[in-house]
Amino acid sequence: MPVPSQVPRELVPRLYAAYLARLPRYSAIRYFEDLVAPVREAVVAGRVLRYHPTQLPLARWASPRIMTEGVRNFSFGRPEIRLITAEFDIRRINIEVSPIFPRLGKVLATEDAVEKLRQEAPVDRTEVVEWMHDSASATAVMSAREVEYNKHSQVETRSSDGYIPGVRLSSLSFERVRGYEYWSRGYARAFTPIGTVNVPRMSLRTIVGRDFLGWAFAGPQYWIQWTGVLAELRRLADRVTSPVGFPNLWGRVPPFWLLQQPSRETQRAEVVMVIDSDRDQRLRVVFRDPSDYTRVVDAGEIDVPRGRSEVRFVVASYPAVPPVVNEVKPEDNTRTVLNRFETRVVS
Amino acid sequence: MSLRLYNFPFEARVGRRTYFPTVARLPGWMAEPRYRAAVALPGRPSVRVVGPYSEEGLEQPMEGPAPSTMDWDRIVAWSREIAPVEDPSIVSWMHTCVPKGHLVITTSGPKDVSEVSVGDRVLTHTGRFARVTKTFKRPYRGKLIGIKLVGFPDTIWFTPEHPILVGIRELKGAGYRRREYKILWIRAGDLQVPREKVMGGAYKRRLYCLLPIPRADGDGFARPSAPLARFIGYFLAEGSTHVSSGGCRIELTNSDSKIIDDMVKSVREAFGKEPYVWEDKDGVAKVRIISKELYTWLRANFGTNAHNKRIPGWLLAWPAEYIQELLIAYWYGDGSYQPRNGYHRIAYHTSSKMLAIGLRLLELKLDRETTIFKRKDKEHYVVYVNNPEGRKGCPEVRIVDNYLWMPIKEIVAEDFDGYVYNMEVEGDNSYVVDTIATHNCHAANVVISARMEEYKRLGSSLVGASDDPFIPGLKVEDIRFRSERGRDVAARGYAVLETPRGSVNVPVPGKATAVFRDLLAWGAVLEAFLVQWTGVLLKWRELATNPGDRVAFPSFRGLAAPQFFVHSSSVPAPVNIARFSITTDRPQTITIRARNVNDYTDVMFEDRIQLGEGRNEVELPIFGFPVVPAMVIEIQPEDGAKTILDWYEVIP
Repeated sequence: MPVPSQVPRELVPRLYAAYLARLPRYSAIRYFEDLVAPVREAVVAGRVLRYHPTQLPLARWASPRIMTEGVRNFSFGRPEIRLITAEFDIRRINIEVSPIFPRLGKVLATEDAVEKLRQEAPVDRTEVVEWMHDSASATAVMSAREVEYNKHSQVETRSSDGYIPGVRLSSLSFERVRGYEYWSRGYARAFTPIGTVNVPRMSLRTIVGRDFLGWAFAGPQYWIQWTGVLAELRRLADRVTSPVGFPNLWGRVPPFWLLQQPSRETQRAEVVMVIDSDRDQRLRVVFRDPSDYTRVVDAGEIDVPRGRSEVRFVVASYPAVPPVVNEVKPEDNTRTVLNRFETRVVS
Repeated sequence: MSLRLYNFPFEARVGRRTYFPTVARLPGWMAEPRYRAAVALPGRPSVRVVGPYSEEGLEQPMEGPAPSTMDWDRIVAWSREIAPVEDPSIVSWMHTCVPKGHLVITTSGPKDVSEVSVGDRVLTHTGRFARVTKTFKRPYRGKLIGIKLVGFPDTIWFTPEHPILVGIRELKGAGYRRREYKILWIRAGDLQVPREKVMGGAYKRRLYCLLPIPRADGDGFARPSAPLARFIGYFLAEGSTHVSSGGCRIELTNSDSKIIDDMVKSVREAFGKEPYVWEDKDGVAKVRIISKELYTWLRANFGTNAHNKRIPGWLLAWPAEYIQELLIAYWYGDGSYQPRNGYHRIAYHTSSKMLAIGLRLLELKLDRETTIFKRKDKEHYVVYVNNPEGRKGCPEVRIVDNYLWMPIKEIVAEDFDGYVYNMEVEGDNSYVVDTIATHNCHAANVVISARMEEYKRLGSSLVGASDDPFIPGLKVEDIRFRSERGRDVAARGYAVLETPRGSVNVPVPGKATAVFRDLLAWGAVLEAFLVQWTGVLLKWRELATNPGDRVAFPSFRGLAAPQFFVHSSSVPAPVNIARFSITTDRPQTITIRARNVNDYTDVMFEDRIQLGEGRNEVELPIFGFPVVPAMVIEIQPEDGAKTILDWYEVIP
């Protein structure tokens, strides 16, 4: 290989030796290419908020025609439900434990964790105070769910005191107010890519923007502190092969978004979901346009019995079933686990 | 929409778990196989100062108006303003708001509280030595609360509003056989000694004062050796210093010939000097050494006479075997052996209270409990060491959870009119009420959110958070601090930052950069208390390429994080000129590292560049073979400086 004349002569032997040493290690590496959504900007509360949109791994066959006409003609059929077992035992479901609090075991709801945390670190009014248990229980639940979600999709979550030290994610943050202010006003304010969103006390608001999906939960408050939980989806999954639990935050259960996309171009596809539920409930399913998440293409409800059941429904469209965002929302006060989600081509 | 070239996939797997590596965007020409292994070396940098320090153009956090995110102290002060603590009391044990006459343990030995000055390093409740940043003296008229302890001869006085670290032992379960221990802060005025007893005469609940086991400190300046340890032990027990026309001399005295022989041997081996041995008219043998240096060193570190002899804090950093040697030598000189009711215990005698406390700390380092008694009407202290076999001696004084637990015998109150003293201690100033660590967490979050916005402005992604990692827990995406109590982390000396690629130990307090093949993260521990501690995590998710806008280096309580970005030339060239501008508020030396984009642990080169105060423009020629590849540049500023990267450009 010719030595460039601009390189000082004394450096050449060292550079050449280092190059030869690295050559076998790195020359065979295959580089990764991807379609990247850049950081986008929105004006929120008079300030520029830079945020990361929720990305979709779209199939190569998803042409502009399918993404427009296909979405317009989209419909879904009557769901079929097959009960596999009526038993619901969280210990038998293969959900993850929190990587931060592995000693708590499997926790799907904050109330499962909060008592154990109180025993472990009792309130001493000096270093440990009440909000920490609430916040830690939300962290325990959400960090375990994050591990499950991230096997398929990309999610970022955080919970803490909304006043100090504050809760913030890459694209979402809670307004910093004292607990009593939040309590007397009745809602917390979240800065999101879709603007400022009011989140009523002890409730959960989904944040659905044209290119952004996430949710905010405003939890219990004390005089100064209160617990806020935020989650934002960075990339959606198109199939789920291992259990993904729905977090239960003081009874509120957020939805989960999935990309419903057949493996090839087809006019009919079948969606298969295996769901564990601790009681009979009505799941709400919303289909959203992948080009604009705020546009609801279709929606429906599925009655799921207690235990493990398999849900199947057919989706159809012309010229082909388009990729759509499937929003699955269990009822509040339930413990629900999505074990499997896939979209099969029906020939 | 366009296809871009990246060095790593956006998702990677370790076992069953997915994580998100730090990805860097590469120029299209890097796809060429021969350029992937390209290497680079730097030339001589040129630096010129072109303007003053300014913070113009930096981001402010979204959540509201805040002071400059570059000024840590002001942000913390602002955090305290917006969430004021009701009772900001400093709680370093035995060190605060006490009248004259109380000893504070410093690295140069125990000192009277009135003599402690800014810069001294004092033992805090976490067992480490921390710098005093402020001292206070105020007149006080009112009640003082006195605590009388088992195993400590003097009453310790506090003002009533000041919390102290106490331990509570409760007997529980069938037959009250189970012991439960709790540690908490209680105001001195609220202390009450429980009197309820169970069958057998033991107290059902018992209050204890706690003395932390001191941790190793970096201040030690005498290289430990067994002869030196023995010499110090003999000197503390039997030594004296004198000045006469013959010069400065040190004398060790004993009447036992074997001990005299050992003293001579220790002096010979420790200093290479041959001492002079003689007997006085009473038949007591003396070992004399003439040395001005040794005379000065001994007086500066171990005291000048029998009543103010002391053990300096740096001795506590010595390995256990040398401490053991020192104690044995001391015991030969001023020790006794007391057979008593079928068991025995050893005792050290001294007329110096400071030395008695020092001996207790040395014994604590060896995990041995001690009790200190004072002879009535006499400045004579006896330090008894509990017999480790069967815990005989004073079983109520015991070591639990890295503290020596001493039962509180009695709480007394007394009128006082005089000065009380107080101090602010770096790191372990534990403020009561729910915001001990939270103010610093909040300040760190404010800094992080501003830096995140700046990084996003460049089109890349930095994520971070700060909180108490024990409860509620701290994680950023797939990296997290192991959830442990503050005292465990402080006692061990480091916290564990867990990443999908492996763990990194972060010193307490301190910082560490976690660099793995495809992951870049940074963690810091700002302080550790009993339960809480303040952790900061940063993770680079996507790196900016040749940043063209201002981005500050995140800095938390003086601990500066590095900045990572991609050096990318528009065309492949064997020589690049990296031109960049860095603004700093004081002269400093930055460290610049070029990392391989295929493996961040592979450092191509490292260089140090001296910067002046203000805006510095730097030109760094980089030579490559066959071309200068795209590289990840890491710039690490010095701790304590405010540093801003203004722009970075590459001229091929």
